[in-house]
Amino acid sequence: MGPVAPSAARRLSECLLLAVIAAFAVWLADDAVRRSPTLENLVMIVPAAILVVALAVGLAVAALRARDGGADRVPASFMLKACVLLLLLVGLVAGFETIGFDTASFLFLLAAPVLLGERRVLPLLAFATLGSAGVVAALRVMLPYDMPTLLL
Amino acid sequence: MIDFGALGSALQLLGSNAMAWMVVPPGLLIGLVFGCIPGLSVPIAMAIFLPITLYMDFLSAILFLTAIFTGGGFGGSIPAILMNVPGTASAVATTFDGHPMAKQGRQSYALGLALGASCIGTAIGYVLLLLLVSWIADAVLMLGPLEMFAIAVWGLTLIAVLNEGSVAKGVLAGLLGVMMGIIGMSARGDMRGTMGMMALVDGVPKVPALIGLFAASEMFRLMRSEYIVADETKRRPEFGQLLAGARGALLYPVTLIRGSLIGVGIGAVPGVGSAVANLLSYAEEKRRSRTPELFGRGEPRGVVASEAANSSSEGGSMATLLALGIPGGSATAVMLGAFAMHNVTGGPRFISENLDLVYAIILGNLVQVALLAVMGIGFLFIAAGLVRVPVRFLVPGVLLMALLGCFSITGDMMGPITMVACAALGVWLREHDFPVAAVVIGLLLGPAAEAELLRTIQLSGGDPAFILTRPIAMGILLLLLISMLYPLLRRRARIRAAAAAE
Repeated sequence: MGPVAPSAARRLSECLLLAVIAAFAVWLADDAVRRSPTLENLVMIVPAAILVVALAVGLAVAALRARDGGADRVPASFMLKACVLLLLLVGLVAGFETIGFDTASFLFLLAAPVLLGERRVLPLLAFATLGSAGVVAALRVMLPYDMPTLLL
Repeated sequence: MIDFGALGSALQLLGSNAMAWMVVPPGLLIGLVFGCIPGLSVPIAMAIFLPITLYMDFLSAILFLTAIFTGGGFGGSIPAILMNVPGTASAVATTFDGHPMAKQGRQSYALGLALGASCIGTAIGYVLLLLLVSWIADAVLMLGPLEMFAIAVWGLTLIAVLNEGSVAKGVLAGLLGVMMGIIGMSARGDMRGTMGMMALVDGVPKVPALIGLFAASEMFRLMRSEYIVADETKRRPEFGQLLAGARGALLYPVTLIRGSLIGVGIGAVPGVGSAVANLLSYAEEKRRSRTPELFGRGEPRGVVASEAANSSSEGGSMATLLALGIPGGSATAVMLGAFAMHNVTGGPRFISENLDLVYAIILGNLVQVALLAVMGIGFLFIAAGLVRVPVRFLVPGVLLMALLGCFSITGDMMGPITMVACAALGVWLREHDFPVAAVVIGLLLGPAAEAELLRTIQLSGGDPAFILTRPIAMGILLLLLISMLYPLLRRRARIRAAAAAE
């Protein structure tokens, strides 16, 4: 099988998005029906789910039938960068409670600008140190919640 | 309408209370800072500083909290304009035209415009409150679940107006938001879609979801450029343009008045709030415009309509709080806490027995508006410099602050997790031209629409003729129908006129 044409990849991505939305609607309606098949529980969910599925199917058919899916508006390199940034965010959230808010924030503020093109070491270190220390210190003063930290 | 004796006493109260004036500038500054950082909302600021009000007299305490409310109401528009990231839920519509103006290098003018509209909107809100406080209280009492449902449906129909592209995609995005919004405990106490997680019992956290859908996904889009404003010569904050923008708001008196009336009306309805007022006012402005195609591309009227409405809604929500003792939203709920701390109970009796105090609060807020205009210009001059920060530093900084802001809202990891999940969803939706604003509207209004529909069914026993006994609801639904049909009829008239001219 040859490489997927850009327009086909875009169509595939749109159909996948529509499938995810429809699956979510069906799952939520099914979950609500299982909990309690009463009017109070279903008055909004079931009609909304039916509409979601109908619209998703219609839009998917339209996307597949479209003669030209359009070239990818976003270069593949950007999509890769966006995915890596999203992973960095996931890592940051995971790091909050494992390595502490301060260290996780520092590492994120160090890695994300590098990903976005910053190569100067001194500005990077200054940004990550001041940014993480400033934000964590300010929130610690303002918030009544416990924020686990490693160093600060 | 106005009791001039009480008004005189109110002026005396304000004149003899130095503390009431000393607490206003710090309150405004706190509001501006909390409002302009996505995730750190105005109610959070008010809750944090609520204990301090214990050491103040009642008037000073309320003026301090309303100063945070006023400052924060405007503060949310700063990141909305500069980064396309609404600082608060009530600044969503401000992004639609404010950010395109910033991208054109008109950020200073747009910020000034938002400040002008906010100050005038807040002032109109409080003047109306001064004139109509008792009447507003009576009117709110006449609204039942059917009327509230009609208002929520009106909000949901904005989806169709706000979407420039495919209507089907707009509706699907709105329904997705509604379904996300009704995750959690139902009116019967059934858990729906919680997957057994206690953190989801109260539903998907709204503000983290909003920040993820809007802010984070916008940051991903911003990554493609070096700076927010491409033209280097237009990145300098311009004091003259800020002032010109603030004055420029006066060029749109009809927009200002209409937006303010919508804001006061919606703000007075408990549970609806400034977020809906902001969107509704924008949509109405676009509907009525002779050039709707300019909206979304940097149309100043879009900014004026949005900001006038969200700012004037403060006056409406204060009317409900003072006259009925009912908080219209989270911010006024915190204010109710201050009432309780000072052993004061809002309601009709409070107004009749303490009219001078009520007038003093209203007059104090009118002075706050003038202070906001002065402090806001200085604050904006500093904030407008944000466009000079390279995107490679701006994006990680904003994402971190937003994530920590989400943590501050929920107090656990549910906020940050929701934000990241919604960021991924937002990026995917934007990539395929689904309007994320529609998801946000559905998310905000879905639960309210469901609850009010349910109450209506219970009250009416399922009889559709019940609507005939509710003239206000019929009026709202009729207005809704007219406002939806009006653009279609106008478009048809234009086509006919063009055909006749040929």
